[in-house]
Amino acid sequence: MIGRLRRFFALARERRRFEAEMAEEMADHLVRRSADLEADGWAPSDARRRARLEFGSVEGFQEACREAVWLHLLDELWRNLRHGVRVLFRNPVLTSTVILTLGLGIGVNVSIFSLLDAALLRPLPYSAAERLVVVETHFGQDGVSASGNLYQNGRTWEALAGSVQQLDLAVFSDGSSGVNAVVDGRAEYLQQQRVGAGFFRVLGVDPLIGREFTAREDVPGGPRLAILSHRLWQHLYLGRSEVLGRTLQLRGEPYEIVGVMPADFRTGVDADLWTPLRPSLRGEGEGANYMILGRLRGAATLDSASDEVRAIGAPALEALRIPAGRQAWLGLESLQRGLGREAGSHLLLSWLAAWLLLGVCSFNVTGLVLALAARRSAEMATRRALGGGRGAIVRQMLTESLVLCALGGGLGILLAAFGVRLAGAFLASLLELWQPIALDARALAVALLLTLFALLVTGLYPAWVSARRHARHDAIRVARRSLSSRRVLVTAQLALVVALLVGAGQLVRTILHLQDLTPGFNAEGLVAATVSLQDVRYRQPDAANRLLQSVAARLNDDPAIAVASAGLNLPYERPLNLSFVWGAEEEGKITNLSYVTPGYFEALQVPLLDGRYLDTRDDAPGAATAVVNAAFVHTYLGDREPLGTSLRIAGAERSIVGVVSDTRQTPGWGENEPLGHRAAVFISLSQTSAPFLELVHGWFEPSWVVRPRGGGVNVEERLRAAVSAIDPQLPIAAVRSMDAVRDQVLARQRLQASLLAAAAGGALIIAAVGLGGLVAASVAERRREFGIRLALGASPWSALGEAVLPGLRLAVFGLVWGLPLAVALAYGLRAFVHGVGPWDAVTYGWVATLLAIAAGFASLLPALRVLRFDPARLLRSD
Amino acid sequence: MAKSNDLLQGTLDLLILKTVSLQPMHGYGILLRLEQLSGGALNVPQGSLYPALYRLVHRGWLDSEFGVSENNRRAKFYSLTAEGRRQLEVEERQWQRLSQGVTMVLKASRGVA
Repeated sequence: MIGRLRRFFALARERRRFEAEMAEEMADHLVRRSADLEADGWAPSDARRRARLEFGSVEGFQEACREAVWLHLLDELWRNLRHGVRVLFRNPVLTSTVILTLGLGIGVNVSIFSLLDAALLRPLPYSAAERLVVVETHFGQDGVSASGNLYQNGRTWEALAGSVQQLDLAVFSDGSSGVNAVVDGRAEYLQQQRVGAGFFRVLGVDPLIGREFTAREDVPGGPRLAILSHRLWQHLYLGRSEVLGRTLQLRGEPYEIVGVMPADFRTGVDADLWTPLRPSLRGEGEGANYMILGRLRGAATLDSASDEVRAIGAPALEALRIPAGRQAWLGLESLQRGLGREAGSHLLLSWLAAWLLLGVCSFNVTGLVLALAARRSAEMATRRALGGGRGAIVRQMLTESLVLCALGGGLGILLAAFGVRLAGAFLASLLELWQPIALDARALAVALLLTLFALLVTGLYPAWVSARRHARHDAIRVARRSLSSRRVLVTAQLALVVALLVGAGQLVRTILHLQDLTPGFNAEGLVAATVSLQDVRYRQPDAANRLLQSVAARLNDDPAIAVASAGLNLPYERPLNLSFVWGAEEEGKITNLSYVTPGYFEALQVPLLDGRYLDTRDDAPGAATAVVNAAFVHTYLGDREPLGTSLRIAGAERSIVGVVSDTRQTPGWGENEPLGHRAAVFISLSQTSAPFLELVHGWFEPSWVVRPRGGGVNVEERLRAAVSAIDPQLPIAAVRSMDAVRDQVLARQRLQASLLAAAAGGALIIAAVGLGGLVAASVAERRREFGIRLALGASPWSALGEAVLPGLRLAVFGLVWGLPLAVALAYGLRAFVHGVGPWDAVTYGWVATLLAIAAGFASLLPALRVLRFDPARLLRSD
Repeated sequence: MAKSNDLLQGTLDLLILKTVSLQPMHGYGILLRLEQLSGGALNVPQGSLYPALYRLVHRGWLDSEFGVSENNRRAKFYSLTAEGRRQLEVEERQWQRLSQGVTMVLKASRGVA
């Protein structure tokens, strides 16, 4: 078979030569035969005539030869193509609907595939990327992992670094932070990523010029060094190689440039430059701030290295406070899967939605092609009657579908090119991609596959239906059969739409649930302004305190502002985790810490449960104090009286003076609820130390929280004025309402919900259009019946009801068939859904309502024609 | 599809393969050889030879190539491929079995139960 296909394609390529040689061969035959006849004594002209007579029809045999080598298929294909294009041009509305629908389905699908490919599937752009791994902490029971976390703390790193034989390891931070830079007197705001020594070596990428950080430099107190991105090098130094050894000012301190990375190098972060991470057990080492990258050495496998890491890392995890019955252990995950996992699962869900949408589009198009086929039943019947083969009709119908699908696929690729650009502009940072989103050969291959899929779905069935018909079938019966097939297709579309709507409904309900969670503070009107204090001028607690408090004081003096204060953490965001010990205990436990300035809780309106808030009394040196939240009391104190208890945290023994109620935070370590209550300790900024501040300001940026007196106050303007009055050199990183802070934390969930809602909405519209077309066709088919009824005195309104009813019945069928699918999807979605059950009645109620509205309109609009029917004319026609 | 009226279905293919297996030949030569070898008993309609030849080439049993014939004319010569040789053996065996079977039927006489 394969040999024959190869020979067929070889001939098809050399069609002209094939024809010429075939003609030559047969002419040669005739010449030889007539020569032989002449030798037998025939006159030359008679010999030629007789030779031709004996041979038979040259054209006929040539055609038979073409069939023998399948070339007739090519001729037929060409004929069918031309015919198909003519037919499609004669039905412009239907054709453009089909192309638009398919283009939409394929375009959405390919766009999401491109995202998925960049996040999860395409090999990372590093040499032997399959040998790259990340260290993962598993939480679970009996060796079965219930959840994993790629964020590691300093203890894990200390334990593994230099001890693991099977891996070349490097530590890095997966985020970037904005820093103020001065280059040749020019101020720049740059994105900096911190990476440990060996990071570039493990990735397998050498700097374009210069070198990377050494292990001796990557320690606390080491030299200040920077490696530039290619883009920044071009921008600041115009690509000159003498940049090595020069310095640039980052947050007020000189950094020496030791290297420049190649142009196409990227990590998951949009970084302008890299500085040493300086992992340390002091301070930040307790936080789950690092990621550990590794490359398998020599013969090591993921499993063998994973076992080694688990054994060596076990003691480091004992410091974690793991609830009884649960365990924590280390393991490895491939870098690609590890990084892509979270984004990947979201994207896989979107891809599933895109497939459901494509299913709806394909069924819709199948219905339209069937309608077209029914319109041409007379043509087909004639062809069958004239002896047209069933195969020929199937091939012709398939050719027409091929034209449609090819055009739809082409439009889909155009739409995908647009979608990919859009995604690149808006989503790249959200997905933390280690490579660019691209409409590349892989995406085009998927587009091709989808087009073939669409061809199979939309082409085969109508072709089969057309071929099955016999000439004796009259047009009305054919139309009726086409209608019943289309009913099935519309029901299938509605069923898929129900599933999509339920999925989207669950995610939308999740977002609403998360937004409606009581935040634990009063978010109304509250504005937060964030600044980076990674600055040598604010290394001392006094300086930082002076800045934060003076700005707050200026704002508090403003009659338009009710209250202003400052703290390290905002509610909703990921807190700083840090270990603490009780009294003389040795072993640390992990909690969350934030420093605040006086008036912080009052500004947020966090209720006080016991004792007092932190205030100016806590600015005084001497006895250090702390306020804890209810979750902390619940987790660590049990029945003990919190007030007066003392704990050691952030380098000082602190006595608890108050208990406040909980606020919602994003989890870090081992927890999955998007917004939960986390144990937290609050201390006064003035009771911190310089080394502590330097460490936490490397990871976190403090914020002012400002509550205006009533609406209509331009808080941002007043804030900026206050900050620039105190420190004109200090740029504000962001001014956001607290609702915006929450939305940013929920951005991924929101994106997910919007994508699914958009897919569901699109599918609903497409299915409604399909339903409307079907109702229109069935009204047209039954117009004689309606004519008779109206002539017999039926009221137009009852006729209208009669015309609308079948559409509504289909919607009910769609709902019934779609429900099992929807419930299955809802169960599959549980990992993405919070606060909403798979049987959430509100979701199903909304879905049923939306479906009823859409089906109602889709049935009513075409059915309105009944009211304009003129019985007399209808009965005369046909 | 052109069928030879006088020959059993598929027989023409077998005869062509056999004829070409002796030496590479052009179409007209195959026809003459068939007539000659069968003592004039087989009369293949001339034109229908060609679809059969093209089919055999398409199936990979024959190769075709232009060459110069005995009287210095350019002509397309057909030769057997390795696959064609195997096919010829298979078909020859089938033919033997078939013709034996037919012969046995024809030899049957009355009275034998």
